Formats: sequence, C-alpha cells, structure tokens
Amino acid sequence: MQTGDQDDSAWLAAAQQDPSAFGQLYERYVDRIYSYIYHRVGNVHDAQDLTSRTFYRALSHLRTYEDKGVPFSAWLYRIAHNLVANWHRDRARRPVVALDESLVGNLAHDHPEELAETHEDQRLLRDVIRQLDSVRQELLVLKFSEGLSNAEIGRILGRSEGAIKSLYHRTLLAIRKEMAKRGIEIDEDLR
Amino acid sequence: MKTYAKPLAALRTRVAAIKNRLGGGSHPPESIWARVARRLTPQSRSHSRQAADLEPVAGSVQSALQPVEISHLFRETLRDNLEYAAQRQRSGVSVEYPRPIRQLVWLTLSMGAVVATVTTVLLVKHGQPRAKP
Repeated sequence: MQTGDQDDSAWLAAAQQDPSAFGQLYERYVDRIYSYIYHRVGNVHDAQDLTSRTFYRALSHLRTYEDKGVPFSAWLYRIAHNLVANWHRDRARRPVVALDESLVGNLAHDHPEELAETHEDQRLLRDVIRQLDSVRQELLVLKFSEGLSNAEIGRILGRSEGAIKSLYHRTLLAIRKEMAKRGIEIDEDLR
Repeated sequence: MKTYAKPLAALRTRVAAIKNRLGGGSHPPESIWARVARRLTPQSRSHSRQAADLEPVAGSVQSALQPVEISHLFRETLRDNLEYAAQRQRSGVSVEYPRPIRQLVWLTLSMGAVVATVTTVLLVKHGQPRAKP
C-alpha cells in the first residue's frame, strides 16, 4: 500500500487543486469500493447506488481531507462504511441475496450436481457471514475480498492491529461453530 | 589425611546432590524470564495449532467473498457524472448526489398526506356548529 499511498498523495493534491483530476482516484478505487459495498449490502442495485454516493461525497469533501496518518483509501472506505451503516439502519432488516454468477463463475466443476451442492454450501456460508455483526462482516470483506492487511483494516475501523487480529480469530471460530450447527461441510469443493 | 579422604568425598557428593535438588549444581539457575517463556510456550503452541485448524474456515470464507466485477456501463456512467460534478464544483457549485426519483415520489406523497390530514382536521373543527349558550 506504500507505493499506492504515494501515488494517491500526488493525485489527491492535484484533485484538491482541480476537482477534474479526481478521475484518477476514481479509476483506482471504484472496483474495490464497489466490491466492498456489494458484499456488505448483497445486491447490485443498492451496491451501485451506494458506490455512487461514496464517490460523490468524496468529491464534495475532497478539499477538507487532510492526511493525518490515515491514507486516502482508508478515508474512502470510511465513507463507504458510514453509508452502508446508514443503509442497514434505514432498512433494519437483513438482506437476502440471490447468488451472483460472478461469484462462482470460476469454480471448475464438470458435474452439475456437485456444482449445485457447492453453490448451496457457499450460499449458506454467505448467510452465516451476514448474520455476524457489522464490524466482523466488514473485517472479513476487507481481508478476503480487498486483500488488506490487519494494520490497514485497523486504520479503516479505528482499531489496533492486535485488536483486529484477535477479532479475526474469534470471528473464524464463530463461523466454524455456526457452520457446524447448520451442518455445512468445509471441504475442498467449497474452498 | 587418608582417614579424612573418604568422609570428605562423601560430603562433597551430598553437597552436590543438595545443590542439584535446589536448582544449582553445574547448571546456572533458571531466570524468571526463562520460566515465563517456558510456561507460555505450550499456550502459544496451542494458539498456532488453533490457527492451523481454522485455515479451512478461512479458505471457505475467502472463496465465498471473492471480489465482484462491476458493470462496465455503470462504471462509465458514474465516471461521466463525476466529471460533470467536478466541473460544476470547479465553477463554485456545490456537488450533491442526485436524489433518486423513488425517494422524491415518497417525499411528495408524504407531504401531500400531511397537508390533507391537517386540512381535514381544520375543516372538521371549524365546520362544526357552535353550541348555543
């Protein structure tokens, strides 16, 4: 993230002078922010709406952004996080998500029955993940979907690296327990 | 001197045995930090074993949370809209996310319902014949 942060600083300075330069930052982060939001809300329509809001808000607050040790990416994720939190609060219900083809398209299976079973297990696993509290969900999405380190996740969630490591461990334990309760098997096909 | 040789040797052996029992002897005594480390070692081993046990769970979660592809059309449209918003911001106009039509419809309907309710209440109140004294 170090090199990326350096690039961000240059682009950010340019965008603060001239908002038209915001496009480079948009190109760099739109995929990641969209993916993050999609996993948190679980449907394309709301993911697109919240992604748009995230970037509009970032653009309108760009001049007020100051680098106080928090990288631009963390600031952007923070905006997305707040919007997703508001979205969940407004609905006050858990979203039910249809399985997207894009999520499972790269699984190589010759047998349709095996594929269907894997899809079902993955759907159940995503259901288990969505039952977790929002901080744990966010931690998993940032770690697995975005590939961020514990330190980076800590900066976004406002916690220490150690706290994130501990929370991650407890979250996996909770998932394993819930999976065992629901009879979901962890095997090579699922992985 | 020969008469004291055997008891002295026995005494040395006993002293050495007592030293060993007290943690002395030929080896230096174990420091407090070494003892702490020794006590913690089995625990950290169990932690690493736990982490290894959780690897399959982590793998499953990773496969369930693969990055999602964004629609090309949405990506391009949003970029164009942001470019337009950036131009407006440069010319001093504040940037706001366009409110969705659905939200506007609900807002209008809610305001209409409030106005209708207030009007009805006022009409009922003022329309009633006043009781004669």
